[in-house]
Parts: sequence; C-alpha cells; structure tokens
Amino acid sequence: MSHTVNRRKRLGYMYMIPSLVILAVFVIYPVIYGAVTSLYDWDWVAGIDKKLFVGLGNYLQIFSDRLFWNALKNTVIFAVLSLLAEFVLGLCCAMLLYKIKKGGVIFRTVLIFPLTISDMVAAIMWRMMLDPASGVVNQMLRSIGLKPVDWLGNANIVIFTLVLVEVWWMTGNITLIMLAGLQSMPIDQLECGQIDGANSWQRFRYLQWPHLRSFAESALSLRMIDLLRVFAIAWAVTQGGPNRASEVSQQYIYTNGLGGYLDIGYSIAMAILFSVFVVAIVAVIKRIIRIGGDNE
Amino acid sequence: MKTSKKLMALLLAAVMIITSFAFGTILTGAEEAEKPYEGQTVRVLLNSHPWQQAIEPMVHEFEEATGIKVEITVLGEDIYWDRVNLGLSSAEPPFDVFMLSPNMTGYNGYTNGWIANLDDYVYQSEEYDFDDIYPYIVDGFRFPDAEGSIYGIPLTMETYIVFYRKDLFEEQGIDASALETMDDWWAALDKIHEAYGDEIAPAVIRGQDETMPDELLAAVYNHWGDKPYMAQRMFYFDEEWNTHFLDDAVKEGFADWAKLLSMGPIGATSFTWYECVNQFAAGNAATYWFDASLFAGTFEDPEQSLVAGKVGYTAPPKTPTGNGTTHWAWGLGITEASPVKDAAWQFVQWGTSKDINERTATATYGPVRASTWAAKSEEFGEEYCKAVDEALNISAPGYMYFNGAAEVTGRIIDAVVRISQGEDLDEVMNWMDAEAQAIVEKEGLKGE
Amino acid sequence: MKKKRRNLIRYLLISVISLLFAFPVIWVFITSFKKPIDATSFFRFTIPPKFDNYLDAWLNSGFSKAFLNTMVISVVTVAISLFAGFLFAYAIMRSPISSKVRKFFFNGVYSMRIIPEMVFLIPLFILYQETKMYDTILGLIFAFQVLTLPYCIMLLCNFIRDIPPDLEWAARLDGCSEGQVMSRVVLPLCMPGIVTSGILAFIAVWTALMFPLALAYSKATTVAVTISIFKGYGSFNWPVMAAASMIITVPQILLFAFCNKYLISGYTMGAVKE
Repeated sequence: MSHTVNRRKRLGYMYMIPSLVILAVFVIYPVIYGAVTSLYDWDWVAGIDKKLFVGLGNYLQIFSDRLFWNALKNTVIFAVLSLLAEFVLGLCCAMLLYKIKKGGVIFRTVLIFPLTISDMVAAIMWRMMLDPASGVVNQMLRSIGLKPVDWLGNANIVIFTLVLVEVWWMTGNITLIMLAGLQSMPIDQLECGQIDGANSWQRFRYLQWPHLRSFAESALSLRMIDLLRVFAIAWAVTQGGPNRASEVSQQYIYTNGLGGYLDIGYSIAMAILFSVFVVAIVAVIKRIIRIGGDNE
Repeated sequence: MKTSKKLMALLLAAVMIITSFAFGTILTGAEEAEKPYEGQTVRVLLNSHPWQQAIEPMVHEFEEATGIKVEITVLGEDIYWDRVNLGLSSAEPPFDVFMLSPNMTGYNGYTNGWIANLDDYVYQSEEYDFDDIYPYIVDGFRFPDAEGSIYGIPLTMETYIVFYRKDLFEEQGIDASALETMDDWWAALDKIHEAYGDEIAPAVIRGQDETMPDELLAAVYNHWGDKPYMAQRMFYFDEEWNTHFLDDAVKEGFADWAKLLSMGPIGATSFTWYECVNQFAAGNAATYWFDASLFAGTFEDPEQSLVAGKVGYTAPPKTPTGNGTTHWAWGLGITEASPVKDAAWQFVQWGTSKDINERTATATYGPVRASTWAAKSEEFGEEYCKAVDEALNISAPGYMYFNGAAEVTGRIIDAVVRISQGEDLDEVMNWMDAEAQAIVEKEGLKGE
Repeated sequence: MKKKRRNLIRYLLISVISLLFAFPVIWVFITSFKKPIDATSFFRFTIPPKFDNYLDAWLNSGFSKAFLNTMVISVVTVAISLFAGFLFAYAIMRSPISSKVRKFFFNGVYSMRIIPEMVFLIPLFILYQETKMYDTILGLIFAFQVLTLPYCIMLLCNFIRDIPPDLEWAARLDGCSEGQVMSRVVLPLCMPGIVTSGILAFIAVWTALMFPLALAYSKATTVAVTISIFKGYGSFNWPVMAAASMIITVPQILLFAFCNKYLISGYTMGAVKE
C-alpha cells in the first residue's frame, strides 16, 4: 500500500512541474530580480550602462518623496470609498434581485455586464461622457436645471469621478456574491422570522446578516486587492490630474519607470514597497471585518 | 608539378573572384537604378497630429515609387513621448523612423546614441534641396547645440500666437488691431466675459497637458525682455544650475497662464491641446492663447471647424517688461539601431521633400521650406502670414532639455494648475523653486 | 395589497438602477453610429446612421491586427493555464502529500494573486529584451501566465474539492490506472470548472492593459493598448472611439449570450471560497 502511496506522491509532484516551471520563470524570478535591482541606482536616461549599487538608498529616497505618499493616499481613499459604495449598492441590488420573481435574469444581466468590459474601455467611455464641456452627463444635468460639474478639472471632485467609474464597472461582482449568499440560505429560517413578526430590518440584522457575513468578508477582501491595483481608470480618465489630485500608486510608479522617466531602480523599489502596503492593507481590512463580526 | 597545380588553383580562384565582382557590380548597378530598397520594410511611428493625418493617405505613392513597404503606427501625444523613450531604449527599437523634436526625448536619444546622425544623408540628392529648409529651424535639430550634427529633419514648424474670434470681437465693438498690450487684452477679455457669460468662455489654453510647459516658455519669454539665458535650460536655470523660478518674468509668465486657464470653459484644467483645439473649433471660446500657429489648418477647415473664416491671428501682445514668443518644430528622425537605415532615409527624404511639404501645408499651416511658404502664403491669408511673421521676429527657440527635465516639467504643470485654482502665486513659486532645486541636485547636475 | 405595493416598489427601484447601469453602454452604442458633430449632444441623431465608423475603427492603424493578436494571445494563454493549472490543482488537492506541503503551495499561489503587476513589469521587460521575447506574441502569452495561472489554479482547486473522492477510489478498484482516474473520472466531472475558469481567464487577458503596454510595442499589441492610443485621435472623433469600444466588447457580448451560467458561477466563486 505504501508503495502505491509513494508512487501517487511522485506522480503528484510530476503533475506540478509545468506550473512550477512557469511560475518560477515568470513570477518568482522577476520578483527576485526586482528585489536585487531595487538596490541599484539605475537611471536609463542618464545612461543605460551606469548601474550603481546604493543599498537601501532608493528606499530611503521614497520616504522623502512627497509624490509617492500623495499617490498612496489617493489610492487608499479611492479604494475605501469605492469599496463602501460598491458594497452598499451591491448588497441592495442583491436583496432586490433575490426578492424579484419575474425578469430577474434580465436585471441581473444588465447589472453585471459592466464587469466583463475592459477597464480601459470603461475609462474611455466615461472620459467621453464626463467631458465637462460637451459630455452627456453634464448635458443631462443642465437639462434638468442643475449646474454642470467639473468632473475632470476640479481637484476636490476628481477622486469621486474615479469612484463613480469604478462603482459602475465593478459593483456587479459584489451583487453576484451577495446574491449567492442569499440564495444559499435555508428557507425555513426566513419563514420562521416572518411568523415572529420581526420587521424587515430586524430580519436582515439577526437572520440574514450572520449568514451573509462570510460572503461579505471574502467579497470585500477580494475587491480590496483589485481596487488598490487601480491603474487604467486613473490613467485614462483624469491622467492623475489636476495637480496630482487623482494620481494613484501604480500610475506614479509606472511614470517613474517604463512609462516616462526610466528611473528603473527607483521605480522597482517603489513597486516592491507598494506591494508590501497592499498586503498589509488587505490584512487590515480582513481584520476589521472579523472584529466587526465578533462584536455581536 | 606540384607548384603548377597550386598556380592553376590560384589562377582559377582569381578568375572566379574577378568575374563574380564584375557580375556583382553589373547586377547591383542595375538594381540601384530602379528600386534599390525594394522589399524592405520601414516601420514609422507618428504622433496623432495634423501632419500625420495629411501624410497617411499619401504613403502608398512612396511605396509604389520605391517598393519599400511602410508600416505606420500612430499614438496620441499624451503617451507618444513615453512610448518613444521606451522604444529608443530597447535593444532593438520597434521603429525605424519617428517624429522627433528637440526636446528631452531628442536629447536623451542623442546622449545615449539612440538616434542616427544624418549629416551624411542630407546632401545626397540635389533635387531634395536641403538648404531650402529654413536653417534656423534645422539648427534646433542639431545636438548638442546649434553647432552640432543634424539628428532630425524638420517637417512642420509652429510659433506660439494668439487666436481670436473676429466675429465676436466685432460684435462687442472691440478693434483687435488696436489692442497692443497685455493689459488691453485683459480688458477685452473682461468685456467678452460680461457679454457672453457662460455661453462662450473668454479664453482657452492648455491645462493638464504633458507638453504644456513647452508653450509656457512663450508666455514667460513675453515678460523676459533682453536678459540673457541659457539655451537648453531656458529661463529656469543658469550656468551653475541655480534656479530662477522666483524671477519676476517667470512669475508673471506663470501668472498670465494661470489667469487664462481660469478663464477657460468648464473643465479647462484638464485640457490637452486636443481639447483646446476642439473647444475653439466648436466655437466655445473667444480666444486661444500661446499655442501653435499650425492649428490654423484645423480652424480654417470647415469639415473640422465651426469657426472657419472667423478666426483672427496675432503675435502675443507686449507686456511692461518685454515682448516675445517661442517656436518649435517637429521633425523625422531615424533610430541608430535600425537595420534599414538607408531605406528609412528614403522615407524621411520623401516626407520632407518639396512636393510633400507643399501638399501637407494646407493641413499644417506650418511648412518648413522657403519655397513652400512662397507658394502657399496666399492660401494661408494675409493676416495669418503677418501674425506668424511678427511672431517669428520676436521668437526664440523653445527647447528645454537636460537630465531631469521631465520631472521639472511635471512640477511646472502642477504649479500652473495650483495657481489657476486660486493658490497664492508666491507660495507656489517658492515651492516650485525648491522642487526644481531638489531635482537638479538629485540628478547630480549642480556642482558639476 | 401591501405585498403588491412592496413588490411594485422593488421593481421600480431595480429598474431605475438597471437603467443607470445600462445607460453608458446604450450611449456608446448610439454614439457609435453618429457623425462627430452630433456626438456631443445626446438628443441629436445622425440619420441615416453612420455605419462607416465601424469600418474606420477597424481600419485605423493597427486595430484589426491588434484584435487578431489579442484573440491568439488570449486563447493560447488560457489553454496553457488550463493545462498546467488543472494538473497542478489536481496534484495539490488529491495527491497524498502532507497537509503542510499542500498549505504551502496553496498559500503561495494565493499570494501571487495579491502582488501588483507593477512588480513584474520591469524585470520582465529586461528579461524579454535579452531573450528577444520583447514585442512578441509568445512573450505576452507567458507574461500573462502571471495573471491567469494562479487564478485558474485557485478556481480549479475549488471545483476539484467538490468532487467526491469515492468516485476516484471506485475507479481504482475497477482497475483504472492513475492517469485514467484523472482523465476519465476527474476531468469530465471538472468540465464546468474548466469552462468557467477558461472564460474568466480569457476575459482577464482580453482586457489586460499593463503587460501589453510594457512588453509589446507594435508587432504584438493588444486591443486594450490600441484603444488607449485612440485617445488623441478620439478627442476629435468620438463616434469612431465608440465604435472601437463596441468592437472590443464583442467577445464579452457573445460570452454573455452563450455562457451566461458559467460567467455567473465564475464571478461568484472567485470570492466565496478561499
């Protein structure tokens, strides 16, 4: 018997080989190479052959780089606002879809279609629609007697512009997950609540929410990972402006590296530090959700 | 016996070499007469630009005449320079010919040996008549300075002028030809604002546009006067890399720009030249400041513009301390690592030839050949030509390049936007000065 | 009576929300048939509709090439990810390895999903310059494995976990070899999982921007990059931009029409089980 177990074990490792080779070359090697390169001052504009070991110099420089922290701040604000908006809206949509008997499929399809669209296409569509001077959104606002909004040029508004695009694009994901959560609930629990005469808020709070919490937990942490990695939407809708009010981390790192200044060592150092932040922030979010649950 | 065999072998070899040489020259000679580069492919990278839109439909003529295949890629200007930089730094650049300017990208290309020296090419063909291209514009494409070698051939030039709507000015009883100073113009813009309110903005000007700092040089120079400055560092740095953002002329130039920006249509801070041109062509702005003369080609084209025939042109108005503007040019360059340099030159030569310069002039309004200006000035109209002439009389080349220029221009955009949104001028300029200082120090320029 | 009214309110609410979500797509669709002059006003229509916009977009420099490129890249990327990913997922879920090793691989793959793409861009760029993989379709196919392989592994693990191991033991008792157990028992049962992760990985590649932006230039560009290049041109010509956006979204529309069920289970599953 142990003979076959060993054979199956060996076979198992063999099955892993293709993936491990790919991951080693295209994931692990770049990370190690990047970590090493981040210790060098290597600016292609100054000369591609000049590569100077500076130890942690690049990382120290980041700490006094106001623009890096500005971008990180924008990224976190954007991610948290989007996450809240998507969660509230997504949960509402899921509850509505759950209760509706006829036509649910059509509504569901409409709500989740944006999910599949490329972020670049979403960004370009909204860039046209939000054009302050001739875009359709301001035109609608004018036609109902409201003042047009400077979606792209006002430093106090641009972050909300990005949130708006993101919410349109990705709310469907949360809707789907929460809907799955609702549908997986045992029906008798709900009926029991109805007989007790509990009002709908109480029913939600004490019967549905405890069941939904694990769904919410994974939906939120998954979304957070993606939100922190925002790039295309900021890059194409506002280009980070005005005055960097909507510049996000990946965009700033890209501009310093391959997308502009070609300051390679510094750019990689920022990318690695940013990854550390992403892992930390996601961990914090998970913790917050857990604590929120334990308080009951 | 042995030696004669050797001799025979030698003789035979000699004969073979000679015949193959002879045949070779005959064959290649025949080919050269027709299409020496037939079958080669030239990859061309262009910026989305009036010249590019004019040239694209003509490229097949070149292909038919030479047998060279041309592959064109077009990029919007907001990502164009970044892509060019990235491509040039590649071991095998993904293009052979590209639109080049004497800016940071051109300078990088020169210092790193990424772009080809064209000195040996320009006089190859007499018919090409290289000297017909304005020498002062060609000089911009010499590196490291106007005495150096040629790295690009100009194809359009632009000087920064003021566009205004003649019909609106007339309607309000403003005689534009009587407006001499910047203050006169400010008063006129106020009047326009009172008359048209939110309907038509008094002015439009570039905002969050990566290349805006190039045009901003014109606004600064308009205040600069006769003071000396260093060509490639322009008004912002001196020989010792001391920063001059607190100079009054620089401050005034930034302030003018910011004020015009704040007069723009809603969203103006986010405008690149694409949006500015669009807004002015759609009739949403009464004036368009310090921008490329060549946009006249778009404004006078009824297909693209609602204001054709209603646009007036003028050189920037005087300020108390000076009067000036800058000019700029696009050219074609060849990558040093290109495997088909000679074929690439054929394309460059064709694209900047008399014939093409003339045929694209209607779209660009900024030909670079004396012969083309002579042939086209009637079509451009008297007023336009006068404005461009006057502007060129007070114009300096507006090319800024040194290591770290990209970072500096990024901060300049931030500064202008901040001033336009109501932040204190002195405070912002102090910040700007400190940032510029830090950048040149980081690049190791100071104390060189 | 009360129940009926409540239902009505629900329908009203969901209709309003749906309309808001559908509006951008409707707007782009309508705009794609307009003349540039009409594009800036929602209420101005071009009659007859200008179908040429689609042709213009398709013929605009490099767009059609990018479309075909992206098709090839997406399909091959997904095929490799599914092949390698299925073997890997089967091995860590079913092979009698110690739970510690299993956990190590599982967490390793999961953490790969968190790392921002930015970390990979420059190292891959340099690697590709040296190996001549820069601006090639093959280069992109392998770069995309960074995104799709961990993703496929995670999804497929979930599916394999749900297959009762008893079935495999029964097959073994019937004399099936190990290879047959995998290919004749697990693989067919796992088919919905393979289709689902295939579709999602396809969309991920189809829509990805950063890898092609950094690792391709002109020969191997993809649609996401090409449409970003329309920007400058598009400020003049919205309808052509809109038409290009519609063309790029055709695969997703087809997937919605024919594989709705898999799409939904995929998007739901990505999060529910970790």
